[in-house]
Amino acid sequence: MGELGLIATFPMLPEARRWLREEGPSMDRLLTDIAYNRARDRARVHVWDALEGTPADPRGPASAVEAEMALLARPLSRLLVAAVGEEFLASRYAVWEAKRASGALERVPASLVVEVADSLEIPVRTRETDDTRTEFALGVADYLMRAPNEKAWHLVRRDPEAGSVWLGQEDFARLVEEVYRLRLVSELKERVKQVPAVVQEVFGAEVRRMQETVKERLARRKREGLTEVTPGLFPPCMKRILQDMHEHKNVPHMGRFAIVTFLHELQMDTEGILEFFSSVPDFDAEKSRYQIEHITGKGSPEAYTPPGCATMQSYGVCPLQERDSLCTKIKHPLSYYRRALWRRKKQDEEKRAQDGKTGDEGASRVADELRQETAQARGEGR
Amino acid sequence: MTQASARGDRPVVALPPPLVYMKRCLAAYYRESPPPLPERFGRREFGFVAWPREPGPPPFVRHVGFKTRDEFQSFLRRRAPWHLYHSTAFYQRPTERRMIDKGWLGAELVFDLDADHLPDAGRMDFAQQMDAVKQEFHRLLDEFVLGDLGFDADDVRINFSGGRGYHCHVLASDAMQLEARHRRQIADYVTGKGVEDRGLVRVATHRIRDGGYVRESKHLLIPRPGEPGWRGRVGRGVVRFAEQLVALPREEARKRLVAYPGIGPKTADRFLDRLRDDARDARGLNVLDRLREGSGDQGVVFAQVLGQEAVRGEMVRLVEGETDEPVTADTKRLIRTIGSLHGKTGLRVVPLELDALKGFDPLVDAVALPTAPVDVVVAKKEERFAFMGEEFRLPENEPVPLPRAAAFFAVARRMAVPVDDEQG
Repeated sequence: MGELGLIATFPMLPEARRWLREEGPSMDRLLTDIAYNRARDRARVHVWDALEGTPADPRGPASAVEAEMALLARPLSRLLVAAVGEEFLASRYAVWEAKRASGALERVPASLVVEVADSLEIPVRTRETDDTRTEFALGVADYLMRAPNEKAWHLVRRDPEAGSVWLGQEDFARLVEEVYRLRLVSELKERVKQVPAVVQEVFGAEVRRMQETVKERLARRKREGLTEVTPGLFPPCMKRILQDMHEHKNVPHMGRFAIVTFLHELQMDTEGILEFFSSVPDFDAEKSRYQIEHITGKGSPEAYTPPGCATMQSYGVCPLQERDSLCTKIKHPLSYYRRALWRRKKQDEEKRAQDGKTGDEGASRVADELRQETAQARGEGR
Repeated sequence: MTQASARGDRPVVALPPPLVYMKRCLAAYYRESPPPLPERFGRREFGFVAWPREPGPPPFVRHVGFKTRDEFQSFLRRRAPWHLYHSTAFYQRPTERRMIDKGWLGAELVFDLDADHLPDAGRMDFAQQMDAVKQEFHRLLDEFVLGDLGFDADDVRINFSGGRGYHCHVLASDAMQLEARHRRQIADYVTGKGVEDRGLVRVATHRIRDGGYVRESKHLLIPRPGEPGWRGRVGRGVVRFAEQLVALPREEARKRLVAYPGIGPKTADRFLDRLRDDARDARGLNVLDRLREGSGDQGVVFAQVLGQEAVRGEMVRLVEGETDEPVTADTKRLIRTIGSLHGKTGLRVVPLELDALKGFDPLVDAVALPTAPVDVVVAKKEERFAFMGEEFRLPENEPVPLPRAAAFFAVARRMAVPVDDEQG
């Protein structure tokens, strides 16, 4: 990888910024000069890829010219994302770009990995293992603040040594990805406020089409959202709390808080929740109304969200013995419920398919339309 | 002082005599020995349990702030709070009522270990609980806070809580910025939550093609006790489990093994035979020595016993740490102020040097109230308690004079009530 290829692959490096500042064209020329048509095309492709979740080409730029175009496309992509002004797209783009960089980071020399980490202000130390691999270490607090929010990254799975968490290159690249992603998200948030008018002229058609696509996605997501209340599919913790309430057992505060916020998240209002509890023996509706209103945000400045599995466990409200296989896949009671609903939907569809009616037609048609639409969009860009 | 509680004109009832007595003792103490202010006190929220002015639970007053030392000390003399706390967090505006308005700047990372958290606390008396909790706290510091988590001893402050436990505050600047979800991971690390899911002890099946046959062999994989983090700790758990079985009389060891689901008497016997066999291998090592090296591959029966789910859980429990999880996870906790007195014991919240922990005896060294004057108390039924290195006995319904510190302890723990004295 030449110098240009290197900084095109890792645009967070200070040399990339320096090159863009000192040797790159002005933003104005980049946006309008015919010489940078290809860079602008690339930016369009990148952002569409990000929106659709198409992974970036894992191979780096093949030539110096390619590298230059890739390098120039980055600020353009960010402008385009900012011009669309949708948080959904910004977060998709951040994921896409961060994944691209971390994929490349897995295969470069350790010294370069450290350089990239430095540019993202990740305090890292290295050591060589017996089989000449390099390992990367962060202090426990530095690690916790940067690690991806996933089970596999929990401290209890990482065996810190005297305050240092040691990671192999692949894992460390993943951590760098997470830091880079968050940085991109906050950069894009800032950028939205200052999109030059000329961007709308250059990318106008693209911006509109992307906005439509995003709106459609969000609408679809909302349609599939959680409004249904089917206690049979509730996670074991919520079932346990409800059952304990029915059996007059003492439900700790965290448990009552969890069930109320959970039901509220299913779009139930105070009345609905009160009604839901009305079958509980000795249930004092009026006394509870105040508490429920407080929790659901009617009587307080903000609504609370239901606690996640970790909090439930810390407070001893998670019935550890009653967890099922779905519990091992999720970190939040709501995700359990969302998946349980989805699973049931799938089962229903399969059943319907067996009955001779296909339930999948609608979905695949939407997907087809989407593909065509994006293909058109790209065609126009070129 | 800015105080946020305004109570309505509800009837004011007289304070019950035991509380009058306790309040008077505390007021006298705070007049004589006002506690120092915690560092950066101007950025902290204070809270206290006030003496009740109406029936029901005593009011907890929060969102209190102090600007100067004089303000703080005159407050203590005037109100002599039942319990005194301050926030582990620092705020831009500590006295704001709503948490979001306070402007959180960071918080000490806190570990709190209390006797209630020990599994066998119910079967111990107060003094035994204090000993057990001290040992466990020692382990929390050595193995976790200063060990695996690697905090610098210079950034670690410890204190006796005044009640039945100890607190550890970590003041390292990076730790102070951790959010609740990060802190919860630290708490989980100490208590070993999620360790079992890692499958550190597991039975691996190897398939070996032997001509036309496929042979299956099972191997027990265990971590070496010297490995870092929970790997090594679980390795040590395996060894401890085996050592305990060897140390027990045969019949008891057998009983203990068959109590685990999945282990029958035959398996238990074969395992114990194997474990107690002192035969040495070429290197002069016996079965236990090889376990200490992390070699679990010692015959089918090892996999049958140590691979059992219930046994794997036990090996984690043997080595897990203890700490009050919600306290560590909380970034806005109120915690007892150093130098204040615990209202349920009269013992002082004492700061300790790390190396002073071992020789610390709270029932002697945290006694802060004077031994004179002597106060007269009476118990409803016979009570005994150890305090200040002495054994005290309170006969039933018979007033006894006790040194003030012991009298307060007895009253605060509701073993006795004060007998009206001339001063009262």
